[in-house]
Amino acid sequence: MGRMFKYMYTIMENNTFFLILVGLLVGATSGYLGSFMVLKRMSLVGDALSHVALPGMAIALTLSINPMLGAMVALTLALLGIWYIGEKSEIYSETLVGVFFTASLALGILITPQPELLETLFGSLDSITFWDGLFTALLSATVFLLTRKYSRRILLSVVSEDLAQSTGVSVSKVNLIYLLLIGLVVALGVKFVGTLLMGALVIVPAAAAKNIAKSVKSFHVYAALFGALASVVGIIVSKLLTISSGPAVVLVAIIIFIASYIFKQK
Amino acid sequence: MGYVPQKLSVAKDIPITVGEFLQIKEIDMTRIMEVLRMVGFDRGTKHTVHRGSRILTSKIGVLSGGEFQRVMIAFAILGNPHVLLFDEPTTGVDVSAEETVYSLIDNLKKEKDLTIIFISHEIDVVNKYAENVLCLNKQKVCMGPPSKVMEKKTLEQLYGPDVQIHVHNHGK
Repeated sequence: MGRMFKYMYTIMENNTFFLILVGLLVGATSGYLGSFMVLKRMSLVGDALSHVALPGMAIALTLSINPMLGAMVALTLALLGIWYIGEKSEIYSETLVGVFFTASLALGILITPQPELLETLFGSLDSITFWDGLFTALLSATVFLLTRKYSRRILLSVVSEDLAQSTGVSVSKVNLIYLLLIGLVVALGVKFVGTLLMGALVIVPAAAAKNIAKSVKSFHVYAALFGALASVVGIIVSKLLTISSGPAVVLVAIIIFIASYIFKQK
Repeated sequence: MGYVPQKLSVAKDIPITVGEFLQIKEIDMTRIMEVLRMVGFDRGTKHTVHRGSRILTSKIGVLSGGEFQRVMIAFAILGNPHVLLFDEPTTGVDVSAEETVYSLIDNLKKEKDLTIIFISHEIDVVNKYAENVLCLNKQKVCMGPPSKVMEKKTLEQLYGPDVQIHVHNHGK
C-alpha cells in the first residue's frame, strides 16, 4: 500500500493530467455553488470575496504555513462577517463589502512576499503540490455533496425567505452553511485561478448557465459543467502557452458565457 | 400550518419550474397532481396552455398573477395543514384573477374543513367571505363577525375619519 502510494505520488506530482482532474472537481463545485450565488443576487459579493484570501495567504506565506490554509481562515472570517451583517440588516451592505474587500486586497498586496505575489494573484499550477491536489480534490467533492444535501433548503430560502421559514427551514442557518461552503471552494480554487479572479470561476459559469437553463435542475447541471469545462480547458491552454492559469480559466469561462448569451438570443 | 405569501415577496426570476418548486415539499408526483387539480389547474378555461401536467414544466416566472398565486396555494396545501395563512394573497394580482383566488379559497374551506387565516385590507372581501374578523391598527380595534363589528366607528379607527361603506352591486 505504502509503495503504491509513493508510486502514485511520483506520477502525479506536477502531472498535468492530475492537475486537470483536480481542476475539474474545483470548477464543477464552484459552478454548482455559484448557481445559488447568482440566484441570491450576490454575484458582486462572490466576485470581491476572493480578494479576502490574499492577506490570509500572505500571512501564511510569511509564517511558512500552507497558503491555502491561510486563505481558508481569512475567507471564513470574512464570510462570518457578511453573514452577521446580513442577519442584522435587511439588505447586504454592498458598500461595506466593497470597502472591506478592496481594503483587504490592498493590504494583501503590500504584505505578500514579492516573489509569490504574481502567482498568488493570478494562480500558478506549478506551485500545486501532490498533497495540495489531493486535499483539494477530496474537499471539493465533500463541498459538492454537502451543497447537494442542502440544495432544497437553499433554493426555498432564495425563492422566499418567508415561505422557507413557514416550512420550518432555518433561513439564517442555511445562509451560514452556504456561505461557509462558498468560502471553502474559493480557498480551494485560489491556487488554480488566483485571488483576483477566483470569484469569476464561481460567478461566470453560473451566469452562463442561467442564460440557457429551462429548469433549476438544468441550471445546476450546466453551471457545474461550465465550471468544469472552463477549468479543464483553461489549465490545458495555460500549460500549452505557458501563461498564468487564472486569466486562462476565466477567459474560457467568459467565452462560454458569450456563447450561452448568443444561444439564448436565438 | 400552510402559508401563502404576498406575490411580491417571492423572487420570480429564478429558473425554477412549477414541478420543481412543488417537489421541494413533496416527492410524490401523484399527490402533486392531485393538489394542482384542487387549485383548479385542470378545469381552467382560459389558460389552456398551462392546463394539466404542462403546468409542471412552466417556470414560475412566466405564470400569470392568478396562476402563480394558485401554485403558491398548492405549495401550502401540500403539507396537509390544518390552518392556512394568507398574507394579502391578491397584492399584485389583476382583478379577474383576484376573484378566482378568493372563490378558490372559499371552496377549499368548504371541501377540506380548513381553518383559514386571511390578512386583507379590503372591506368587501372581508364582508363577503369572513366568519370572524379581527381588526388591527397598531392595536386591536374590534373582533367578531364582520356584519356585527364592522361599523362606521370601528372603520374610522382603522382607516381614518370620513370613511363610509358603499355597497357595490356588481350585477350579481
